[in-house]
Amino acid sequence: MRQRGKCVTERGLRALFLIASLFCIPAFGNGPGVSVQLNVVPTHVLAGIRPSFRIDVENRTDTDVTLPRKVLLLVTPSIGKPFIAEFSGSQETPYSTAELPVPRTIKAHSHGEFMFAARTLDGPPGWFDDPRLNAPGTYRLQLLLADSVVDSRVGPTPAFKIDTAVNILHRSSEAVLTVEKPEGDDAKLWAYLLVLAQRHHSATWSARYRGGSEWEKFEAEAIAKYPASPYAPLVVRAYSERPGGDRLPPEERLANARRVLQAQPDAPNREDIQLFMAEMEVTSAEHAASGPKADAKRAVELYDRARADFEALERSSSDPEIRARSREERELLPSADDVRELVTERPPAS
Amino acid sequence: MLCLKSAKMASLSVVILAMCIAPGAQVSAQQLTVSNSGNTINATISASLTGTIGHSCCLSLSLDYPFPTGGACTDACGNAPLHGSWSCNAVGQHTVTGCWLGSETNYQYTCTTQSITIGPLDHAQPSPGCPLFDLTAGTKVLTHLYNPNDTYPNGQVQDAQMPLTIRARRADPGTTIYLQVTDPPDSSQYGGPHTPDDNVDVSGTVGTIAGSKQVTMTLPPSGQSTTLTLQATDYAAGDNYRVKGSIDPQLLTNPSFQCSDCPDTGVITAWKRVYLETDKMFRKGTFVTQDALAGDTQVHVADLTNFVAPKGKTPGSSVVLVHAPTLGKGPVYYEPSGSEPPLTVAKIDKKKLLLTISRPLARTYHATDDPTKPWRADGVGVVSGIPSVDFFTPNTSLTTALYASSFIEIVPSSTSDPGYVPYSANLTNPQATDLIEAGWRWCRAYGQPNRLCVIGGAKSGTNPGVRVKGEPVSWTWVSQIESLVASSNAPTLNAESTAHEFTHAWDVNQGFNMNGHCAEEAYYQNHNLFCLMHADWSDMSGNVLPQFFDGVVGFHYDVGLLFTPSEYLEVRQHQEPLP
Repeated sequence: MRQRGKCVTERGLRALFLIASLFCIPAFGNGPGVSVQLNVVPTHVLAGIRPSFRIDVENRTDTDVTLPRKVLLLVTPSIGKPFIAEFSGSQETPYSTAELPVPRTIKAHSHGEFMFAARTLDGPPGWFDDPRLNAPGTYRLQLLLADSVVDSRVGPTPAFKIDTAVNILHRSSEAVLTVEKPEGDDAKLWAYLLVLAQRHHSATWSARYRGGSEWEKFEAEAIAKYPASPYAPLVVRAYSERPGGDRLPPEERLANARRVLQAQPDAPNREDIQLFMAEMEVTSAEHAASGPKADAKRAVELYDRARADFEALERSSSDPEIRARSREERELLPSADDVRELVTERPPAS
Repeated sequence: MLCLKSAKMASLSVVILAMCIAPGAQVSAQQLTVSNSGNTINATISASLTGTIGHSCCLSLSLDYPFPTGGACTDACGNAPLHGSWSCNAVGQHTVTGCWLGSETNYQYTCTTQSITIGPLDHAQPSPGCPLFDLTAGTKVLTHLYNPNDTYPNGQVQDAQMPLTIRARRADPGTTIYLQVTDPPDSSQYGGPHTPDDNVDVSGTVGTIAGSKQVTMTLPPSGQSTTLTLQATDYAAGDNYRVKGSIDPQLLTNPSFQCSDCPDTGVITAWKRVYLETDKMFRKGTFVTQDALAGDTQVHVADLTNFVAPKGKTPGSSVVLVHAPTLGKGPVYYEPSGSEPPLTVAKIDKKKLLLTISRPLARTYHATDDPTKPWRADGVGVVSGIPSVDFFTPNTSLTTALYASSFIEIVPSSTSDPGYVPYSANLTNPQATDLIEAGWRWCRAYGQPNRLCVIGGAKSGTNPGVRVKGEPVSWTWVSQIESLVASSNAPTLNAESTAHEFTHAWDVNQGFNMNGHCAEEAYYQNHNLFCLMHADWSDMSGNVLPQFFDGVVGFHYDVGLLFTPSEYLEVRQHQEPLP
């Protein structure tokens, strides 16, 4: 009896330890003094539109902490199995190319923030190229930070056992994202994307599928017919060609951008569209300064207009990346003397 | 019409002036001579033909078949005749068709016919070489022919169907004959020994003639043929068929029936045909950074490394500009092309990153439409005229044979476009957006059915190649390959990497959940070597394993694996069109 009682006690202790370990692992993975919070902005998106990820890191320790470089996204859908979202379309490296931006060191007793800002239908956060994240539904999202990721080990490992394939050093908090089914005019646009998905033998869309005539129709109609659709501001940059492949003139692309901003002055990526408009002014200036009919005066006027727009964004944009890019592009603009010299030195057309 | 006695040789020589030859071409004399000796019909066709470089001249003869039959083609042209002889012909009228092709006919076949009659006294006698009737078919039937400018193999005129031509020979016209369709053993080197009745596709009417594997019919009149249609598979390349005929109904009723003189089509095998476009990145070059309009002589570029200005009498670098639309919908063009004068660097401005070229541009070349995506720009390449110096070229030499073992023809895309791709040192966008979009732009056949592209490039990270999921484009990183192995091994590693990435375009190995790779450390022909699609190509130190540049490629084959026993089976049975 005593022996049996001892065995029960030992078994019970083991079970208790196992249960405690399962509950405690997430906390241990984060480290006692470092917390990583994932914020998804917005929390509701239309299918095909990606939210931004803001990652807030709190270092409550007495030493500086350098976060691991590699990031995986663990997705738990409301229906179906959890999965590790693909980041890259590369067949060889679908997971390992996702990295936290630099610098990754958080000083002692301080806070850091990392952004994967969504400004277009492709682009960051890259995990939304995974078609599974474009199906309407609700998803719990969690970032896993690791020093290294071996793609050939991640793929065959079930998501709930991913820590057997990757040494996870930090886990973020979970965030919930709802992907909504398009309706009305948005559904008409979404239908084009689903045709492209079918052509890729997929039930739902991925930005990897953009090569095709339906994408051209999607872009053109979003901007021309449905500028108030949430899709429209996200294709302003992408819409650059007519169906036969001829590049749209910069003036037309500017007009398209103005149309969308007029319909959606509060578009989430409005500052990126404003940056794009300044870039188109630069392209117009370049056209004015080149070719057999170069016009230095006109080119200088257009460059000056672009310069002013870049400077405005540098001063007022809330997005540090937009501010940085505005400054970089402004610094590359030629001076008026450069423009006149370029036009004057141009060899005559024969 | 003359009735000729069998003992006499009567020859009919007809000199025929060519008709309907290309306008302006000189008319030359062709001669079709037809005679018979008993029930053997002999014919000779001769023509004085000339050909230009790159074109052959052809002659063709056929009996009771009014089309060119492929014929005898030669680059030498001239006037050497072609002879034909057909024995055991049935009593009655027959028609010989003679065709010729050369510069005189604008490289199209021109044909003429001549009839001849076999009389009752010349009735064919039984002999080992005298068949009862002809039962003719091609040996290769394509599941699909997706290129409207291409032609089916001999005998085929429609997807997944093989015409069977029946013509009386020793047996009299009107004789009742019996045909049976069988399924011979697979001829593949994988998975043997093979057995009869092993075709994969046995659905519906596949493997039948009008829904039946057994057909009863009567022989057509002399000089005519009857055509039946064998329905083949439209996806299972490697499935095969054989049609046998007899005048004895036991062919259909007695499984033990043995026939020594039964006409037989031989084995007819289903094949897939895909078209492979090969594109190549300049080894030296750069992107255009401002739109260079038609008529302009100045091109703003991202980098002037490798561009050389003229010095004294030595001209500057020879250059090529190349353009493609952003999403691949529209023409790709380049210059100089065709008979355009060459382009050289006339002046370099390092401060402004500006090239002045030797003549005005004929067309417009664009900078990127999005500064965050530099790969969307058109390009300028430096060329010397030596392909190995000028381009990163993928080596497809192993791919063709590998796929032939899976009954898949890889046909090079016929195009005069040399396949230029702008230089980019290292395509490293973390989402592979650069690879995706560059594939749309530079794979000229993107989106066309059964068209796949292999592109040679410089580098993208550390891998020797890559394919983007869902895309018909694969990349071979030639510069990376050249840094991984000795120069003598680089071409072979290039070839194996190209074959590996090309195979990804067939979306194999989904069951392993290893992104198109397998974990198989054996391939079928050699159990000591990894399958071509194994996930790891390097040892613990990161060195490429020698077996991946030994020039031998193969797929694993293990029917014990639940989901993906073999890439060979997957590609054979892949639905079309790709991708």
